Amino acid sequence: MKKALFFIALFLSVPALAKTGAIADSLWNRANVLYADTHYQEALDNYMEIERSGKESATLYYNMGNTYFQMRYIAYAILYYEKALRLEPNNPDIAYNLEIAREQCIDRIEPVPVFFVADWIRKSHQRLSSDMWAVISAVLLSSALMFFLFFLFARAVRFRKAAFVIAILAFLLAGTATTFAWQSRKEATRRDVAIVLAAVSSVKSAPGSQGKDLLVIHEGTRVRVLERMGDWARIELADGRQGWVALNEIVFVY
Amino acid sequence: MKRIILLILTALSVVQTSAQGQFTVEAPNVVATGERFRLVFTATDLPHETFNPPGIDGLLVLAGPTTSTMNRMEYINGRRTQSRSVSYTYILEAGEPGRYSIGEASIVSDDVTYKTQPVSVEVIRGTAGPAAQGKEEAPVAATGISDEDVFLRLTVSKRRAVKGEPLTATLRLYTRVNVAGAEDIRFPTFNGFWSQEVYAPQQIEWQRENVGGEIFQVATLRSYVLLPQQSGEIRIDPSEIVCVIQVRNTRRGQSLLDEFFDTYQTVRKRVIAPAVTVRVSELPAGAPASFNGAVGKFALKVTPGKDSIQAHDAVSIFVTISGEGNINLLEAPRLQFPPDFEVYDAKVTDNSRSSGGTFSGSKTFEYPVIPRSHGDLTIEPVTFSYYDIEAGQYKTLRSAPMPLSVARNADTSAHGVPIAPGNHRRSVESLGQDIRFISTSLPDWRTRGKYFTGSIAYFILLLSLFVLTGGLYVLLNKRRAHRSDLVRVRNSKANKVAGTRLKTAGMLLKQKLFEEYYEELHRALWGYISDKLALSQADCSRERIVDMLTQREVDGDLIRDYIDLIESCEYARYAPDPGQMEKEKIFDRAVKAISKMEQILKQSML
Repeated sequence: MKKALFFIALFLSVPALAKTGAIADSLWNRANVLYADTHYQEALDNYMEIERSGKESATLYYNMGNTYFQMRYIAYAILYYEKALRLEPNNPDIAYNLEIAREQCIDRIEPVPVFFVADWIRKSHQRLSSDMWAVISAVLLSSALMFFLFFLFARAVRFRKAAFVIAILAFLLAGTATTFAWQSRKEATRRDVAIVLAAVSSVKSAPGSQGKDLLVIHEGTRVRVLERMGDWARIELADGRQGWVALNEIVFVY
Repeated sequence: MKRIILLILTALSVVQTSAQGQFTVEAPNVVATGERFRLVFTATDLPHETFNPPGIDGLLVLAGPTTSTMNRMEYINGRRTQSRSVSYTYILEAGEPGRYSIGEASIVSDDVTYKTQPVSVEVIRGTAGPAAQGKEEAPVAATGISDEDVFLRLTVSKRRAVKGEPLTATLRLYTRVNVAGAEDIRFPTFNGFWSQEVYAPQQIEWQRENVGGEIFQVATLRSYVLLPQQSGEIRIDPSEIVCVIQVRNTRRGQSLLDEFFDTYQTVRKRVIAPAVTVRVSELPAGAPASFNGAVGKFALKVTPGKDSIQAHDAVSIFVTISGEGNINLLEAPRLQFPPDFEVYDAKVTDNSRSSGGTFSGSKTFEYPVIPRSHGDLTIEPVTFSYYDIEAGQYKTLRSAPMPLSVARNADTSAHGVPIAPGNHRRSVESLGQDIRFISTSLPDWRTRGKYFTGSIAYFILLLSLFVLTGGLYVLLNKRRAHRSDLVRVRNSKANKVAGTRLKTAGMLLKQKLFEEYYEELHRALWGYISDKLALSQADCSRERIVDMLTQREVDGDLIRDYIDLIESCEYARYAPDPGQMEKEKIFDRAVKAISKMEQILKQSML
């Protein structure tokens, strides 16, 4: 009953879903055939058309990344693998190909190790997409409420006890799932990760051309954008070094 | 220029193969008007010859042919070689300037006819060179040897070339004076080229040549084949030579003796060949993947040593590249072997020679391989690309795929590969690394930027959950209230109903309708308890009643008594008459039990 309600709500929120989906499906199939025949440019055109139509999926970005990789545009390949990972952070294929693409980059940056608890928490909420967490939280919440009602109306004392414990547990789990849903939505839409697309980009000590050159990074390098000022962005490399680069030399993943 | 090189090369090849029968002609290229010169036909090792003289037009035959015979015998390491040559010599005199040709002469020896090539002699107006036989040398002042008298030149066959295209560089000394020798020779260093000497004579051989209307003695000192290795303007540094020139003393002595015996003075002169630049252009873009710097014209042949072998046997694959171009610099083409092959370094056999200003011949690469597993395998086609200078484009040669059937080797240990059980196992090797293939299953499309979390639908869903629960709560609460009302009504009526039934039972007892009496009594007992406990007819069972009464902390004896009463009522209906006393006793017990129960249940309900 509640699940049905959810799906009704979902369909209401995405009108005309079926029609654009069919066009995307035919473009998708054509692009895959072209890719298999090594007509990478044409395949890419088809994929890009899907992307322009506003549709997306992790596999779309993954295939686009693969196409760019075959065309030797490594920086673009990395950009699209990152986009794909945003949607499906736990997909092993995307992670594997991203690793291979990264090996072809010029810059080798040793990342600062992450505290394992933080890593574990991130991994746990990355296990499912934001939408899935939302659905799970809704299911958990509805069961929590049901058990609460049971607790209120059951006559036998032991049933009431059990229902109370289960309701509390389900409330807690629903709360966790909701947090995960919001967290993973936040992470998927965070505009803080960018890929360097310029062949060579110099990292300066201050925004503007008067800044002193601190480092030189090359295409394909992943940076975190900490703040923006005019046409400049303050970035942080995976190893913690910071500086300013021109905004037109990087492209945001989201 | 090319012709001269060709002439030199043919002359060389004549020297090389002099053991066979030969018929050659020898004449100067250039002579001055009025100069006398010799034309010699030489037949070597041709027995029983008959000489057919050539046609000589425009040149005055002063004498000849005069025949001279030369026998030569050599012992080398106890082996005797003998050769006999007959020469027919003409003395000719040049008349008017022009180009004259001497027709072919032939010689018949043992019914085989040998012919010479026609020779052309150029007659120019001017003075004869210093080494002209029988001519007086013009006296030259010792100091008066100018750069025009002796000069050195490096000629390069092409001034424009692509990278890897063979060029010929020839260093030649031109002189009009008597050069007795050379010292301190500095040959050019060819930076930016791969170079090989192709002609380096032990002794200087002079030839006559017409240079700007003057007869010069020309000597080829060195000849090189060059392969440009880098692009751009490549400068070949100047080469130098110090010529030792003999000059006849100009001082005519007073004594008569001086008139007869010339005195010579030795003069040293440094001559320098100017630097030469060659413009080497990069090969055009779009080289195929298998291109590895080969420039020229080539053919490819791939042959396996054997067609069928056993596993763990060695076999060689021969790749032969033949043709002309920078063949000596070719690198071994990469062969794609099936994965389970042990491949060893290619052995290279270079059969290329320099000839005609380029390298030609063949180069063979032998790839020794050992297949480690059996089956019908195929060695991938060998591709070899080169840049064709004439066509100005890259060409790719491709061999046919080579089938190779490898039989199972029964006796592996015989080939030095000891195979113990378990020793055969090995880890699977990774041959290469590539990205994984694209995903082809239809994805679930989602609209970019739209998330269910935080959307209106999400909040509606959460809200509706709470609303629904609230609604349910209200509904359930109402039902419970209604139900408890019902219970209360039944509860309050229970006593009354029981009383009425008991009264009826008492009447029936008096009328002695025993069956109806027991029935009514049973109904009174049963109906009372089910009303009290708010049990529906379906829920009502003896066990259930016991359960619920125990829950309400009713005394166990009372419960047992009550149940016993119900049972005895049921039983008595079908049992024989127990007598009036017993019937009244049951009636009293039932009234007592119901009133007792009423007291206890009233307390527990409150």
